[in-house]
Amino acid sequence: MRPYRLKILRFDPSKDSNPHWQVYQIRMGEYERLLDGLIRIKGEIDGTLTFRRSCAHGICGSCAMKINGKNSLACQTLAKDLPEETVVEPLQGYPVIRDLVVDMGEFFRKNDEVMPYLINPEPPPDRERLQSPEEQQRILQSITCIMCGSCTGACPSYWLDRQYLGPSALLKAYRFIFDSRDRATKERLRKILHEHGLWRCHTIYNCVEVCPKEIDITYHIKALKRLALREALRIRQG
Amino acid sequence: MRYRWHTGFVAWLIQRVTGLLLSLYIFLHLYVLSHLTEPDSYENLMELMHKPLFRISEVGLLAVVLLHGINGIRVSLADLGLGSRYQKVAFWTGMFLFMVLFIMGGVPIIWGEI
Repeated sequence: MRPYRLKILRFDPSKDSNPHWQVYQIRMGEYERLLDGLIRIKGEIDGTLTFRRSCAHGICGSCAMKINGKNSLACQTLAKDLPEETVVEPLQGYPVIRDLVVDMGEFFRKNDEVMPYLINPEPPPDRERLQSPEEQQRILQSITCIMCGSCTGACPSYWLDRQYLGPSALLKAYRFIFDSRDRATKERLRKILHEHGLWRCHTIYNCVEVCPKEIDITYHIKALKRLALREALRIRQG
Repeated sequence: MRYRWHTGFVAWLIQRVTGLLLSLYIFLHLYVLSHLTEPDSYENLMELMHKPLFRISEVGLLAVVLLHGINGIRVSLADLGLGSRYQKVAFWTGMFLFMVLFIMGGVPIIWGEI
């Protein structure tokens, strides 16, 4: 067990006009996660501290927050990797509702924009629509996205253009466009090819740096760009 | 709003700033060239170019061109789907290449007989 000073940015819209820092002193074992520390603070020190968490095992994406200046999952951040003075802020890039809870509404709306579901007008076979291992491999990484919102919130293009779809929604578009069972590539490309879409990605890699599932999001966005280019050239050639 | 400066972010900033500087430079370059109509004025200009301030500026230009070009190759490779996983290694390799080329080019500009 080691002592930690957790400096947390707090904001209660019913009381505060501005966010303020509050420091909590706790002890954590090296293999405890930051989330364990936050739960202990809420349970034993200050019940008013508000944050989201659901599964606590890196699958739901609820506990995404900015930890020492980087969007991360609190449940995947081990105490042994933290400095004694650790700064915890709400997830960068989203409006704060209270303390560490942010409004993800716009994030999920953008996700819906790319039609995140299988579209295939062909009649379904007797059993499931089959896919070869190679075809599955192509979308395997993109499927592991847990939609925690860390990537989009860490993207400088998104900081400057809040209408930008962001890496998460583009990755979702990739996941269906490159799915061999899907038939709506053209419609989806139309959804992402606009002023606030695909070409706003400037290869900054901030999304890749923060992804808790270690998805090379930029690589996927680049594949979409190449596809969009090929489609555009094909249309021009007639 | 403070956020950690990752390698890719620094590379992007370098690319933006050097891109802007090169865009401004090209106008300066064309402006100077467009005034070179007489042999005399060419000689005068060359004399000016050998003054220390211009030599240092030339070294600066070399740095800007190298940084923009080398980092541009890194981004182009990623565009082609090559080595995206190794973008950080690519950046630092590029910076090493930059240092080598910068010294090789900068030393003759400052101390050479060009």
